[in-house]
Amino acid sequence: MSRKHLLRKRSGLIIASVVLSLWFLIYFLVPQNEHLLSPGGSESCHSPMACAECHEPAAGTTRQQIQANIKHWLGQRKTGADLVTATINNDDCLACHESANEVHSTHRFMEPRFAEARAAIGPHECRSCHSEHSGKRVEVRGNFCYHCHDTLEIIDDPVMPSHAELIQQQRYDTCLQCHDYHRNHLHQPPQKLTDALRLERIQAYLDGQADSPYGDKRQPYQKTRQPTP
Amino acid sequence: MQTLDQYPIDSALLQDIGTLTSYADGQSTSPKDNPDEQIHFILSGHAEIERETSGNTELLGTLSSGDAYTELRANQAASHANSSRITMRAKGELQTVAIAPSSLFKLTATTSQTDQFTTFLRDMHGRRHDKQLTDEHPLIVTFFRGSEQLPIMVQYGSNTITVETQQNCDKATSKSLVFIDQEHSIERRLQVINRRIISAHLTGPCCETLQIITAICHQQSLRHIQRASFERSGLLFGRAMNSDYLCICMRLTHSQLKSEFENGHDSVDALRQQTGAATACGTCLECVQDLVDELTHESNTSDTSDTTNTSDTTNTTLAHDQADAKGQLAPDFLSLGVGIVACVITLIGLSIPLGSEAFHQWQASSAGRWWSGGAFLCFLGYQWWMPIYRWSGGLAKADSLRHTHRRIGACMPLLLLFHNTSYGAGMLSLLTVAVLLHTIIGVADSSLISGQQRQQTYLRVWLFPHILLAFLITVLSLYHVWVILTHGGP
Repeated sequence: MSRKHLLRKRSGLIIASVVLSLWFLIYFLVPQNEHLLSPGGSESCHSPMACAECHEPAAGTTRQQIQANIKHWLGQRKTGADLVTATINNDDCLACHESANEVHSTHRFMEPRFAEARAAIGPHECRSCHSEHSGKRVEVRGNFCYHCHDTLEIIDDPVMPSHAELIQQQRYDTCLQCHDYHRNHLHQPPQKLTDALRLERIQAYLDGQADSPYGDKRQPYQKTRQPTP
Repeated sequence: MQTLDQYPIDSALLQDIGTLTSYADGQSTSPKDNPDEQIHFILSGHAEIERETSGNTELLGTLSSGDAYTELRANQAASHANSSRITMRAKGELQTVAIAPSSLFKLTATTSQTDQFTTFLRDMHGRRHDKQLTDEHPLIVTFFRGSEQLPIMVQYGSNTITVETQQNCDKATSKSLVFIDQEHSIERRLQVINRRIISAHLTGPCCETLQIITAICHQQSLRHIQRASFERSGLLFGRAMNSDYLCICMRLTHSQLKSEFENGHDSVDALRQQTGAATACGTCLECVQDLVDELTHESNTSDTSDTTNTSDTTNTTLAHDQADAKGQLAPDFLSLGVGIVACVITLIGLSIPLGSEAFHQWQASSAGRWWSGGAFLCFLGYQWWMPIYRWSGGLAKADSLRHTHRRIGACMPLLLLFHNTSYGAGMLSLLTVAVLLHTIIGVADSSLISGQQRQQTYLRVWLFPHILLAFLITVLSLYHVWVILTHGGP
C-alpha cells in the first residue's frame, strides 16, 4: 500500500495522536507545570522552587554547547560543556544551606586523610547523598559512618553503651539514632541508647516520608538563593 | 540449410552444454550405423554435404561456422532403399558441438530470443523428419526436474508448446485462464489449481514461455493481478510483475484494495465506494470482483492456505501470499502471557526493589542510566520500524515484522524496569502508566478475536489507543531525554 494512501486512511487517527501527544508536551512545557518534569518528584522543601533557582544557565549559547560536546566526543576537546543549564555543584546547595553549625562540611573531606572515604561514598559532594529529584531526602543507604569513624576514641565517654563498644560491635546503624549528621537541628544526643530515636522514624525522615525527628532547625534556610561567594 | 547467423547463440555456451568434436579434412561427420538425436552446431571450419548414387557423388551444399545440422535418420532410411547415400564430410579442419535434447532447455533459457530459437529448433526438427509437422506429434519432448522442482514435461510442437506437471493433480478442480488473439493466431491456455499453474498450452509465439515453465517447475503462486493481466493481455510476467496497479484510473494498487478489504470493505460496492476503484472507465470492474471473490475464499480457507504455503518458503511470491493469508491473524497467546507477566513483574519491581544491591547501584549510576535508557530508546526505534514499513508501502515486509513487533512489545515493561527505579513522578509516572497500558493493549490485539469481520471491527477500535500511546510514549521519552541532558545529564 502506498504511503500516501495509508496516511490518508489513518490520517484522522494519526493527527489525533500527534495532537494529543503535543498537548501533553505543551502541558509539561508550561512553566507552572515544570515541577512535573522532575523524574522522581522533589524533596518537600524544594518543591515550591522554580527549576531555574538551582539550574542556572550554562555558559555559552546552545549551539556552542553542542559544538563543544561534539568536539569533546570526537576527542578534539578535553572536556565537554554543560548543555543549556550548568551542572549542579556544592555552591548551588550551599547558597541556601550554608550553616555555621555544620559538623560535616563538604570542604573538610578534601583533607588527604579522607581520600578513601571520598572514593567510597563521596562525602565531599552534596549530591552523593542528596541526589534530588528522587523524592527522598537522602538516597544513600546502609551505614556510612564507619568510613571515617571506625577508629574513634572518646575519653571519659558518657554514653551507654560506650562509643568504643558500639564501634567494636560494628553497630553503625545506631549513629543516626543519636546524631544529626549535619547538626542543623536542635536535637541533643541522649546519653543512653535506649533513649535514642527509633531507626524506623529516622529512615522515614530520610526517605522523605516524615518530618525531622531531630526537631526544628537551628537556623532556617534561606528562602532565596544567596549569591555564590 | 538453416543457419544460426540470425540467432545470437553464444559459442562458449554451446561448448559448455554440448560435446565438442573435431574432424580432420575429408572425415565423415555422420555415424553410419547409429544416428543420434543430437543437434550439431558448427563452431569453425566447413563441411560439404554430398549424395552418393551408384558411384556418382553430387554436392548438395556447404555448411560453415554458425550452421547447424542433425543426423539424417529419415534420409538415411530412404537412402538404403534407393541405393543412394547422403554424407557430410569435413572440408579442412572442422569443429562441431553436439547438444542433446535434454540440454535444449538450458540453452533456451539463456537466450533472450526464446521464440526465435524455438522456431529454429522446430525447423531443424522438421528437416530431420522431412515431413509436415503437426501438433499431435511433438517435435521435442523434454523432462525437467531440479532439486526442489516438480518434474514437468515440455512438448515443442510445430506451433505449440505444451507444458505439464508430472504431479498428480485433480484437474476437475482446476480453473482455466485463456487468452486468445485471433488476429495473430495466438492462443494461450493455463490450467490453475490453488493459484498454481499445472499446465500450459501455448499456441503461436509466446515470449514468456520460459517464465511459465519456470513457474510450473517452482510451483509459483500467481497473484490476482497476474491472472487478470493474463486474461487481458496474455502476459503473466510482463508489466503485471512490475506494477501492482489494479485500477489505473484511480491509481489504486492490488495491495491497497486488499488492505481495504481487510479493513471491512469486503464487497465490490464497498470497495468502489471507499476507494473509487472501477468507477471511472470500468475496465477493472471484473478484476475487482475477482479480487473480492479470491479474498473471500482465502479468508474462508486461511487455515488450509497457511499449511500449504509453509511448504515453500523460498518463493517470494509465496511470501506475499503468506502475508495475505495472515489477513486473519492467528492468536498469539504467548505474547499475551509474556506481556501480562512482564507488566506484573514491572509493577512489583517498581514498588519493591528487585535484584541485587550492586544492580541497583549500577542502575542509579550515570553509566547505568545511559545504557538502560539507550536500550529503551533503541527498543522504541525498532517498534516504529513496522509502521514505517507499512506507511512506505512495504506491506509484505511489515507483515513479516508484525510477529517480532508483538513479541518485543510484550517485553517492553521489562526494559522500563531495567531503567526505572520507581514509578517516577509527574511526567515520568505518566510515561510509566502509558508503557504498561500500551503493553497490555498491544498484546491484546485482534488476533485474539475469532472471525475476520469481528477482527476487523476490533482492529479499528484497538488501533486508536495503540497508535495514540505509541506517539505519546515516544514524544514523552524524547522530551524526558532532552530534560535530563539539559539539566546535568543522567
